[in-house]
Amino acid sequence: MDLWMKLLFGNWIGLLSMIVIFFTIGMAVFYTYYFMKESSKEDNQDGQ
Amino acid sequence: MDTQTTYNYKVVRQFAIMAVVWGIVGMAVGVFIASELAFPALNFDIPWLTFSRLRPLHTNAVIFAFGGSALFATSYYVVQRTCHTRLFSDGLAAFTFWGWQLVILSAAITLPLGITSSKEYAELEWPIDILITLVWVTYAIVFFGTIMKRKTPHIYVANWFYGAFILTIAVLHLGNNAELPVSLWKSYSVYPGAVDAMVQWWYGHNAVGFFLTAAFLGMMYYFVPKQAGRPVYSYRLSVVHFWALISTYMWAGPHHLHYTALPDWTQSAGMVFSLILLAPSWGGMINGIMTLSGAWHKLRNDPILRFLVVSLSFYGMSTFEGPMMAIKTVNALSHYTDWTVGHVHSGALGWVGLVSIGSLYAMIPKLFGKEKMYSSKLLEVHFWIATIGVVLYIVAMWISGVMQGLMWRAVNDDGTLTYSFVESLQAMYPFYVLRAAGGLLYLSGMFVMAYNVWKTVAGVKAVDPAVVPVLDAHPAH
Repeated sequence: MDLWMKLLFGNWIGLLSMIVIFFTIGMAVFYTYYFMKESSKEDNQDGQ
Repeated sequence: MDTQTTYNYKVVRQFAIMAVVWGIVGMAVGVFIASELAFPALNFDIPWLTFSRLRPLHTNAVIFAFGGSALFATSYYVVQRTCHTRLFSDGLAAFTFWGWQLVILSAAITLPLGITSSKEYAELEWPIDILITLVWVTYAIVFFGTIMKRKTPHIYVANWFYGAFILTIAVLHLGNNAELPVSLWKSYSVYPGAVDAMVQWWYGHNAVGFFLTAAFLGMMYYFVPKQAGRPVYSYRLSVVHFWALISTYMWAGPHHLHYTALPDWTQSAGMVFSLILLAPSWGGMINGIMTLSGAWHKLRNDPILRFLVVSLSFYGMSTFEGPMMAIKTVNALSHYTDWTVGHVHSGALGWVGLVSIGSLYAMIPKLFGKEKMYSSKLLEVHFWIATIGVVLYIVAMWISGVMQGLMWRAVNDDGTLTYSFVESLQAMYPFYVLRAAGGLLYLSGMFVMAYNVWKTVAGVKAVDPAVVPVLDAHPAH
């Protein structure tokens, strides 16, 4: 486990790779939240 | 009815139906080869069924047969509707349909036989390359000829993207396929060594940039506003990001060749241009998503709009991931691993696939004189199956890819490798099964689509509608 943690977070290569993947996952979560929030509003309430 | 007063929907209908057919074929081959990676015995020791021969068949079928047919269909539809005129030539348009089908058929025969130029996404041998050239030049004549005889004062932005795609693919195809034939079915590239690799990835990356991005943005710029019933969020942004996108994409290819024999400065230049690409790519994504301003409520009941908007979110995610993976530090881990495969499929299944499917669902009823698709419920089913399938695929490849990269890089204190290659393969196994399951879900959605399309068009006698006259020759902008 120590080896894996070191490989994942103990150097720039692993760390940057993790940041890219987690940011992409964050985008997916944001899209889901944003689409659900906007589509739940009443008709044309969100500006035109 | 006089053909001059109607749109030519015949060729659009033909390409639209074949897009569904080739989608199923190409994705079925994809699921099969994904299963082969998990269960190698599936090649049954038959050379034609080996991964190495079927993989190019899969990529050619999904990109050029499915994606290409969808692009021919939508571009012919959009250019007629937005220019308020019939296609430039019915005969030439028909030639592009039959010629393109012949190209696909030739690929389906030659690739399993092992006939290949070995250039990724450009595997077809020189006689087929010549046929592609003939079809593509004809396509350009039909498309730009239609724009030239338009009845509208300006050229709608979707046509800008389609036009850039047609012109650039012509240049890329001719440049990368410069080859010396040594027999009817074998040729060699005219470029030597590292130059050949550079030319190949100049082509390869711009195939992504212009075939799989610019062209599908053209599709997006027509069908998203149309389905949302709203104008494009910012027409100015669409034009700005168009020029930024096409002028930047051309230089990003070297990121495919990090840590190779390519000169280091070329790799770094490719990395920098890839990073710059994030801005114009997100310009398109933001413009598309914000077009729903004032129409978000339609997402609740319109599965077609859901396909289109979710495709844009996958476009946003994959165009973030791509430039980041072009950074040399990240590429040191991701290159040659399944992470790249997952990234490509985030763009291919999530962006290209979903925007094509949404656009075809929006267009097909209109082509056959119907109000809507046969079953809205089946559209919902297709949407969820496809979305879950893509997510499964991407997550499986993220885990598999990062694990591969880390296992290959792990070294002991004495400098020996911690893991053997076979150990890394064993670790991949569950994720290869998961990936095949994700692909199977996506393919199942295509079967649902085929049934829905069949029920929509069966028994219908399609009639080409009259050209819509331009009411205001000088509309306010």
